[in-house]
Amino acid sequence: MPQNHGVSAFPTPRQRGRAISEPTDITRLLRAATAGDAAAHDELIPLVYAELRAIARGQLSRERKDHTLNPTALVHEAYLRLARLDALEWQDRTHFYAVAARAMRNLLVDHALRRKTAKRGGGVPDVPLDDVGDLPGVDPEQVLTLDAALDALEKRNPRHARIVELRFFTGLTIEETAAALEISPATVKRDWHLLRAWLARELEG
Amino acid sequence: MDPARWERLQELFDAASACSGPAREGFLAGLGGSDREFVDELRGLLAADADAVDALASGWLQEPAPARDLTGERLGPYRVTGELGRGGMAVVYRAERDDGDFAQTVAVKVVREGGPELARRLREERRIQARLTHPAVVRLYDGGALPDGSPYLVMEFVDGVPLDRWCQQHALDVDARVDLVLEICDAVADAHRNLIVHRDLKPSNILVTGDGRPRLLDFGIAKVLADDDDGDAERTRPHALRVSPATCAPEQIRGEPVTTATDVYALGAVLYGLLSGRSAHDLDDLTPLGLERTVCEAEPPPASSVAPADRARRLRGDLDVILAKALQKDPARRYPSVDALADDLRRHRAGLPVLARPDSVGYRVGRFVRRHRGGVIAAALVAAAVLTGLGGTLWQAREARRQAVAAAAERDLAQQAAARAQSVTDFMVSLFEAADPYVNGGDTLTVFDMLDQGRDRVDGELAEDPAARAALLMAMGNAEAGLGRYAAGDSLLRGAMTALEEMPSPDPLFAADVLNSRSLLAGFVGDHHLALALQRDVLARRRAAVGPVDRAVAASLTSMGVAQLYLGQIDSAIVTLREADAVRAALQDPNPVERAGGVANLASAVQASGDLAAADSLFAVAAGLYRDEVPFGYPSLATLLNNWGILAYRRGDAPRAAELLAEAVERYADAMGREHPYTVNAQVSLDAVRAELDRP
Repeated sequence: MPQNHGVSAFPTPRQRGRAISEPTDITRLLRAATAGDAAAHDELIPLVYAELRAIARGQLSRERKDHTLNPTALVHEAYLRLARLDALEWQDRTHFYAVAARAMRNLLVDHALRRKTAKRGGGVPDVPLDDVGDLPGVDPEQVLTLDAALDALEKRNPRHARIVELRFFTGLTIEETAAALEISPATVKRDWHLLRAWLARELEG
Repeated sequence: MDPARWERLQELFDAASACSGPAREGFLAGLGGSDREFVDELRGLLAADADAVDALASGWLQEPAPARDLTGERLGPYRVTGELGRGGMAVVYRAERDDGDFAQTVAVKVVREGGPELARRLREERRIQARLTHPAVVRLYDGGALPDGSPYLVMEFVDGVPLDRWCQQHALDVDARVDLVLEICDAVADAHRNLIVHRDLKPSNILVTGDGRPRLLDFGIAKVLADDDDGDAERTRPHALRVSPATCAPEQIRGEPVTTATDVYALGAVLYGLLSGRSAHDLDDLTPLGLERTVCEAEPPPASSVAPADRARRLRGDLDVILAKALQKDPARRYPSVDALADDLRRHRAGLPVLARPDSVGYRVGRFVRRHRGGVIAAALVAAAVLTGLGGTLWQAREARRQAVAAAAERDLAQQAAARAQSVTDFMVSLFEAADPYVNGGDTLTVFDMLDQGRDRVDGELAEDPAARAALLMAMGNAEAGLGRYAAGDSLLRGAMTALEEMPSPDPLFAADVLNSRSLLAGFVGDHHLALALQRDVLARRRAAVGPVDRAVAASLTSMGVAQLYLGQIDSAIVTLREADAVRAALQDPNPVERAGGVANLASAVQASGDLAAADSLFAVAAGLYRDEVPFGYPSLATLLNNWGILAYRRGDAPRAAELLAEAVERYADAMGREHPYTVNAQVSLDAVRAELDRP
């Protein structure tokens, strides 16, 4: 199955989600994206973004007392919700994770930006600060640093950028990451060894 | 950096990571100074790699170093003589009291540069520790402030070693380790009676002194239960809370309220580590999210399944169950108090029945369904694992039919095999249904859950069918080994052997196959003595069943020879491997590829004996056999060419080495891709040889 992870194929992180879409829309696009349609892939990201954000709000008000996100649960739940609403097949899942990881990155970057704006006193933010919460263990500033570093990594090796998104922003295991990208776990393991060092250095700087 | 340079950087990073110390320095020096920026980048990544695991798992980066070293300075009546250690928020110095009254060594804890928040913490610690008088808790003597206002604490100096190191150094047995933890339980229970929760119990916070008594230190993040005024600050800033990944409880990671049950969990985690020799969770390779998932969701394997063999038996049963109860994810399901944990440990020490009970299957399944996560992609893995299992059993069924037709005399064995294959197939299908989200209501089981369930069910459902039980235990044992859980794999394989022994006339070749799996597994974990002993048994059984000239007999001899080679028994290895080759040569239906593999091993053994010329001709023979038979990218041939190339280099024939290594690279790349570690490895060797050839 061809992967379409071209550099220019992604919308900017600041692209906002629209209203929650009809689930059938997502399914149709996911099928097209899985079949190699790059435009469908691009269209999916804001749709999944909206879905994730809606679930994140519910999750925070329901169970989390510390205002941190559980992106892994979030992404799984988004998938299950869509799967229940419409008959997604498990072949679609792998591609869904690649899309969801990117949407999750956008979500966290937007949140970090809003935080920063509010801190600088740049007026009233358009949504409450605890809108989606933070990534546990990570400073919102670091999310922005990482976002910029990922853009540079994208140009060196798009697969490496995907792996960091899936592992770091979505919390997938080596095996799950391999399944989502349709590459071998050995390759992910090898890449992760390098990327782990890269991450530690980027975030230190 | 362009993609090609980045790719090259990754290759060199992998190669350099594989070596350390002077070897790595040599490697880096060999890259030359032509492209300084590139090499600096590589060095930077290697340096970051060294602490990347800690940085990523325990929440980012270290605090800034303290502004200055206090060694030599005077704090009231104490003179600072050196640094003892530094933690997340403080530095601990050694100091001597020398005001003429009496001589005394103390430990002085000084807050690191970090503002009023950390200073407030230290004052809190002083307040907390002043309430504690238990003999196993380190004493607080005094406190004060530096000229710049930074507060410090003066505490008893404990001359001891961390708990885990002490147990290792003194090779303590299970009872002695439990007894040490019991003493710590007493101290923690005393703190709880004073409404203090330690929150950071871990081996490095427990020192054992020369007389073998443990002492508990560092109440730096302890909390008084009565006042909850500062709790919110921490909950809203989770990245500010530094906990120890190996022993922190799920509620600490989630930012939920901390109670005495948090210390029960940590004591369980400490004991788990002391008894099994491993952390309760696999903490290698974790991101902050991975840490959260692992600590909050993954069930630690029973301590007995990961402990060294000599301790495993002692842990099975009571101690496994006690640890599981202490390490429950839900605080309400743990022991209600540290005293209750200590009581159960004492019951166990006294040979009385313990009060803890294992989780019911119903509870575990319920937990799984509630979680609704952690397995969506795993479904694909499960499907693959099960289909592989089915492939094997379908093959067995075909094989059984073939045997039944071919030889009437073997009918009994063939029917046994057919029945076995049928039961195994049915069982695998039922496990697959359990893993199917449409059958079990939207959740899926991971491969590990499946294997664990399978193990639980095999003994019950197949009690009357030892043949099928043996086949299944063998399949699951091989699967566990394939997943890297070697101890669990070996225990299943031993279970398969026990099942076979229950049968009146077990299939001798099947028994040999089980032992062969155990032998290969022993080889994986580096126990070549065991691998060799088991393989001797395999050889004897195969010879008794099918005579001396047989493919399986030759395979056994080769495995033995390889084990001997690893053990340094070079002469025996050569004899065994020659015998393997003789058997293969005598087969009616010879298989050149298997023969080539055997000769390649023989060549390595001969090379190890120092006869490089003879090894060279044997490599040539093996390569000739392969070349006639296998497609271009056959990986075993690539390995042979790689080894042969290294031999040529050792013999001083660099041009020949380059030729062989280049071919190895091409064949590896064809079989496994340019990025496969084997390909990269051969490429690195090739580059090194070529660099030498280019040198004037």
